[in-house]
Amino acid sequence: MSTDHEISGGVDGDSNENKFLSFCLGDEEFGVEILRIREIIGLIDITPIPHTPDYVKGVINLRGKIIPVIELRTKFGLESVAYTEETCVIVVEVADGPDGEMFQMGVIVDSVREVIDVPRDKVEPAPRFGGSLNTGYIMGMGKVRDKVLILLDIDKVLLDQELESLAHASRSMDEARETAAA
Amino acid sequence: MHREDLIENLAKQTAMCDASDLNSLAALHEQFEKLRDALDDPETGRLAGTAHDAGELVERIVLREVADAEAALEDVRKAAAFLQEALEAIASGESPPESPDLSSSSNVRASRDPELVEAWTQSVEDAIGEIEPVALRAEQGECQDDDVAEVRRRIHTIKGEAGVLSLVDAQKVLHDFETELDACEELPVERTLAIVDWLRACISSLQSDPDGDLPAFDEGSNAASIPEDDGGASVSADQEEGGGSSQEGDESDPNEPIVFENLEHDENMADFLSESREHIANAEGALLELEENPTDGELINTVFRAFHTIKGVAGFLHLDPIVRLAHSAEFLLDAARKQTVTLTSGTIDLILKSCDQMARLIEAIEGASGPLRGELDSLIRLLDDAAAGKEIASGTPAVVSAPKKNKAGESGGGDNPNRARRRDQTVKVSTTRMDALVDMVGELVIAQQMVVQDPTIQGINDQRVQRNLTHTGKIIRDLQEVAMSLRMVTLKALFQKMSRLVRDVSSKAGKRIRLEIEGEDTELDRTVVEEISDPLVHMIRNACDHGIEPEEERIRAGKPAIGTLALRAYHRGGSIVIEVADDGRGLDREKILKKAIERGLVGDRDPADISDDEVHNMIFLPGFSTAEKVTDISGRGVGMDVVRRNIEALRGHVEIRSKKGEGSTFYMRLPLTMAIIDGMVVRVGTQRYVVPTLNIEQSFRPTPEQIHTVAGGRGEMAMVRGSLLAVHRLKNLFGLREGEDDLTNALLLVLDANGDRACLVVDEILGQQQVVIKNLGRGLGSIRGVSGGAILGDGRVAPILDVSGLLASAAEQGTQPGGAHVDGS
Repeated sequence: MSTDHEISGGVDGDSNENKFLSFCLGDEEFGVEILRIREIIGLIDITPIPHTPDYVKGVINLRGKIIPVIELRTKFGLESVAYTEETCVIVVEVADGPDGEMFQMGVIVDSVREVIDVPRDKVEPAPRFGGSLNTGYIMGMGKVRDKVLILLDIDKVLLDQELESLAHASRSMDEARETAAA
Repeated sequence: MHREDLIENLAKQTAMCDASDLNSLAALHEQFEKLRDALDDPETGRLAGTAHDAGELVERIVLREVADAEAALEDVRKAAAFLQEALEAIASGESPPESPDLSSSSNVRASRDPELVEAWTQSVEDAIGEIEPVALRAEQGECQDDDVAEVRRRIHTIKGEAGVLSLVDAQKVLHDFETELDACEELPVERTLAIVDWLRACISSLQSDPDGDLPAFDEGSNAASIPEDDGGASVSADQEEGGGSSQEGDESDPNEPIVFENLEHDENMADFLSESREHIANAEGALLELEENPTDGELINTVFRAFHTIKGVAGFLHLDPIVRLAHSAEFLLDAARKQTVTLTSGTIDLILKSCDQMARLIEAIEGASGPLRGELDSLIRLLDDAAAGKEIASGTPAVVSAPKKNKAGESGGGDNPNRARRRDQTVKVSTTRMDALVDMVGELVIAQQMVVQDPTIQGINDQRVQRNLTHTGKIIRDLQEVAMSLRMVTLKALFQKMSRLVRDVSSKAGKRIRLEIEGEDTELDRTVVEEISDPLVHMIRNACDHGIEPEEERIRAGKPAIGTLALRAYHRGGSIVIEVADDGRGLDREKILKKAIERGLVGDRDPADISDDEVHNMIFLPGFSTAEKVTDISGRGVGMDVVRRNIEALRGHVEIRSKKGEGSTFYMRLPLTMAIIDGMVVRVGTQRYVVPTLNIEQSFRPTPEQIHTVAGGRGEMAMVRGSLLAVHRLKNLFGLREGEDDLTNALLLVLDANGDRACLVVDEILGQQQVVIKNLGRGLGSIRGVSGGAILGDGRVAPILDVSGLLASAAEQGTQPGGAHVDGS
């Protein structure tokens, strides 16, 4: 699934290779390779587009270019929260297929933290949780200082259809738990 | 000779070389490369391959890619010895020995670079795509002047690329074919198709085994027509490098292109080139008018002056061939001016050809390949004969080889003489850059409006600030106008090209056709103009060839002897209409219907119920024109579905109206531009959408009496001008939570998508504006009912509705409230 080799898949010899942008969804902290990030913008008007999955919030006008925006919470099956001052859109470059064209997409996250250097030897493969929890979109777990960063394979996150079923699965699990608690 | 020296050196060096001495290995590699270049002609092409392989092997030794360096070096020595032997054999006229197998030590040929192979097969595929239709067209007797040149150019390119891959055999076959083409005026169809088939076989062979040998070219029944090797051998190496223009050869060889040497490319030359182009353009225009009016002294003078001026300057610049041609043309025109010779269409033909040749000579100065000497000489002879009063058979100046519009170096698709002539005044800019510019200017306008409307800015009570803001705003608006106009061009150049085409086609077909042109100043998006050129050529050719009858037949039918073809362009309802109308025999309903029934295009309908228009437009159906002999159906229909596809790709529409015996008219309806549409901005709840104005017939607020429900309110209909139309609520179609539910408070848009009509419910119309169509971004895929997005004046995005997709999905979903759900799969 994820190995050191995959992590080093960026541009060889670039000093940004091991750098990740960290952001939060709730209490969990995630990391995305800095090389894939175009820019970070505050939340702007999003135009909803019909007949799209619910995690697609719509499209925005990024300086004359229209790009789609997705809400990572919904994509991961987490519950939506009201947007705050800290909510922002990370514009990432996504590659469609192994040698596919790069295109831009916006990702809504709760807040952006910092740029962290995660040396390769601090990355561990994602643990397997078994069952319905698919960890295919996780490149690895980065241990920096005293926290753990979930390093995302952004192509898989944004393009993998499996994740949606994962989202549904975890949601139904939540519901089941809620019903059980009640 | 040079290569003998090279090989001798090489043999010595290989003998002394040590596998660990990198310096000498590097030198050796270089020597092999040089030798390969020296051997790169068909006679010794095989040897070049060996030299190349040996060079590569040396390189691999240097790079330590071979397992056994000593064994590899031994192979290199063998190769050198073989080369020496083979060259000696060739020099003494014997056949060269078999080449040694170098693969034993390192599999030299083990891998062709897969990327290069891929690139080559790709470009061969492209070439096939270009060559084959040309050949097929030539077979149909529809050959064009530049067919041979086009095929030759393609063949030349893939030959060069085959060389890179060391596909020596393929290179040789292609080279022979190229030489053969040089000698022909008409495309040898059978041979060309044989080459195409062989190329296909090559591709599939390379695809299954990239390192394998290519299939041999089966010369088939035409073996006799293959020219001897030695004819082309002496020039091939030069052609390889110089694209054919740097050939040296016997001065008087009529098959040699004219080459200008030792030219000084200074300011005088640049002026001469651009001025000559203008003169030629003027002359050509005047000549076309002269055809109508062959005794007009002023027109003859114009043409005379053009040649005279060119001759004068060319003499000053020592451009001998141009002087000779201009002189002869001038002489003929002078005779016409003095009325010792009357201009006939034959002589005008000749002078037009002189214009073509002149243009080619001018291109030759700039490095393109010039006309052949023989061509020029025979043209000059004909001009002199004509001036001496000898009869020129009208329409059959076949002695002069048809001027090939050879613009090999230029844009592949365009053989528009005007475009070439104005080359020095225009810059080619990639459309992506231009689009980026237009995008950014659009953004600039929005950003500027935001600044101006900012309350803080508006609160500034300083006259100077306000004045500066207004000034900036004006500049930005001008900038936007210019940016938009960058994309627009008039139809003038295209129509001019067509008038030449009509002239050529009609004289070839032996008909007299008068071309009427209207609206050539109409402006259209550049891409649209480029894209309609081919369909237009098709239609015009068809009209001239098949639509307009031969003279006798016209007279018999009581029509004027001279046929009329009209080319018109005009605005109609937000789009441009281009008409090609002829007064020929028209379409034959019965024949088309018969064919359509044969092809199963009619279904089980009663043929008598089908309207004439519908029958006529069947010629655009795919599968119709692929019929073996479409020319049966009064000729129309050759490639008509291709025409339709081209035009529909431009978001245009084409149809034909025809009346038997009275002629037919093609109507092409085209959008003004590819990038901008006229749209109605509508609102549902807080959301805004853009509906293309083209699709909107009318809008109205319905009264309760106009609304009818079906199936207990699940289906809604509205009575619009006597017809009952389905009512679809955009709110439901898009699964929106907001928006007006009471129809009498809402607005109905009557939409029409290719005859499919329905009403769409929206809250209100916010206004009409032109919007730039943008992609919604990848990652969303295609969304039914939405064709793209537009950035509105406030910088926000509004989806543009795809009306036909929307109506189709509405028809599937039904109209019950809540019938549409967000597609969550």
